[in-house]
Amino acid sequence: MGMAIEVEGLVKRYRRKPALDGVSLSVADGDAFGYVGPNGAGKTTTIRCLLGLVRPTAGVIRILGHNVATDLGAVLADVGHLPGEFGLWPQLTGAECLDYLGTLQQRAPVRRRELCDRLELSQADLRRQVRLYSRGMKQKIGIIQAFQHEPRALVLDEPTEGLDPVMKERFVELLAGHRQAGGTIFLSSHILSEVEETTERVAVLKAGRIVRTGATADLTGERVRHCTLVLKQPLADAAALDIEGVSGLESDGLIHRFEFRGDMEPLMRRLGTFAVQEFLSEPEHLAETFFEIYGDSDQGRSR
Amino acid sequence: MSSTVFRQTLRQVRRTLGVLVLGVGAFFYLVLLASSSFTKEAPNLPFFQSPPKAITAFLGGSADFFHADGWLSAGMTHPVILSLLTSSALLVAAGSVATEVERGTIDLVLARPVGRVPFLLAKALASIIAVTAAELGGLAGVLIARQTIDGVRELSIGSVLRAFTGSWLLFVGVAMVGMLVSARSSLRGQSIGITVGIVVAWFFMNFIALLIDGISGLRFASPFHYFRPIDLLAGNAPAGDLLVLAAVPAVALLLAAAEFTRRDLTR
Repeated sequence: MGMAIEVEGLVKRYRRKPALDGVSLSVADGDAFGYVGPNGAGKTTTIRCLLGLVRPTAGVIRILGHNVATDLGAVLADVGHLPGEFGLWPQLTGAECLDYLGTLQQRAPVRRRELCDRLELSQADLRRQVRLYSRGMKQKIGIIQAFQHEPRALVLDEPTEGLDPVMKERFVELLAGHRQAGGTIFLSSHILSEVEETTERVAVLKAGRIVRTGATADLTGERVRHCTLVLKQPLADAAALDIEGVSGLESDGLIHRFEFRGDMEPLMRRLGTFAVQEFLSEPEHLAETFFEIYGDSDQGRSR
Repeated sequence: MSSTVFRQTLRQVRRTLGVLVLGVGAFFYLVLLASSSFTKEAPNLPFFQSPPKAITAFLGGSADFFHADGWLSAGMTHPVILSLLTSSALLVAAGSVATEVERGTIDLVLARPVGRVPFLLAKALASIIAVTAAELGGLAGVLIARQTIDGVRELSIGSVLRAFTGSWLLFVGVAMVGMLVSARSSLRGQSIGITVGIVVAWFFMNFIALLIDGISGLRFASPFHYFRPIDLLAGNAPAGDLLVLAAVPAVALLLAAAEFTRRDLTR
């Protein structure tokens, strides 16, 4: 499988202040890649470098086989981009904005009607000036302009800002459809559940550096599970729960709470020897890993 | 050049531009209408025969109140017309990049296979069209006055065309300086403010240099020095003046393109 996005040693300094400090990542053709980090970590700067809006201080970026520095036009012809913060031309209607952007793309907006239907943007809505649009409606226009020409790769920055839960769900379906059609996704979001739901690989960015990259599932596997065990009878031996991976055991009569890290199989085998009334195992979400990386795990758990 | 960006840009400013065109045309018509009444009953006062240096300096170096071309010349350097033509020059130019960055539309446009230079050239051409339209509005006002007002018929069409060509070059220069400022800026207001400041500085540099003999050499640094409508109307303007006026927009556009292609597009 070829690489859709390859970034090697990307450095960006504003005057002397580093915004990106040696970022390297790769996204295979057809993959969905999540890019997470707090405000100011460099997510948007990375995206701007990918699209030629910001000139890197050092490093090489290749998208769909083209070098961004030397062949930007070829890159942009096959990419759909939704910026994190974008504006529209207030005096234009929604349809006129889409027409304008479609013409600039130099490819027919073959999916526009279908996307408008899926995102419930009616013809009447499209005939209104965008200055009258709500935040959510503007976001829908943003999503449609990114998808309407069927790009091979999507570069999305906080794509569900302003969308209601139903539209968020529709958006997730759109991403799934894009993947099924063989498309690549690069998704930057602070909504970690969204990244978890829609991507297979994820990179965590901190102060301009990638501090963790891996399969989303692997990151989940590394994570702590919060377990609650309710027994029908008291344990005969207090050391019965002394199992590899168990930590932070708190017992209150028949209820035992602990954290578990690692392979679940030995734990489940041991539990099979107890009279179990109920067993709950709640995996930590990406958010908790994220906050762990940032040294703020308490905050992560409280969310 | 991106023809899509060009069409869209002009479409966005068409109403404002229409008002400016009418304003410029009406101004020149009214100036020449006033000239007809003045020249008929011109008072034989020393003030009008030999106006103070401050008045001639303010009017660009000449103040002839007894002929239509003197009034037209004064009209072409009058603050009202300078404001209207500067507005038409900056209508597109000053916001060409800065507005798009400030509004957050530049990401949507330049994340498409448009290219920065074709984008900038489209904005530059739209700016030139805006200046041209305003100058044509003024020319139309003069031609209508010439056909309808006694005493204005003495203006020859050739001399009027020369004067408007000079004005057109001056304000295309203003527009391209506006493009240069905009290409470096991310705020529309800042871009307009700086460009207006530059135009005002040019005007006063020429004015003060004409007023004070000791610093008269300063006037060569102002494009207004190379735009003397009375000389253009009389056919006495050196060709070098028009070359200087033509060089200003050319250099400014080149610098704007160089600046815009290397800048980072961030707010």
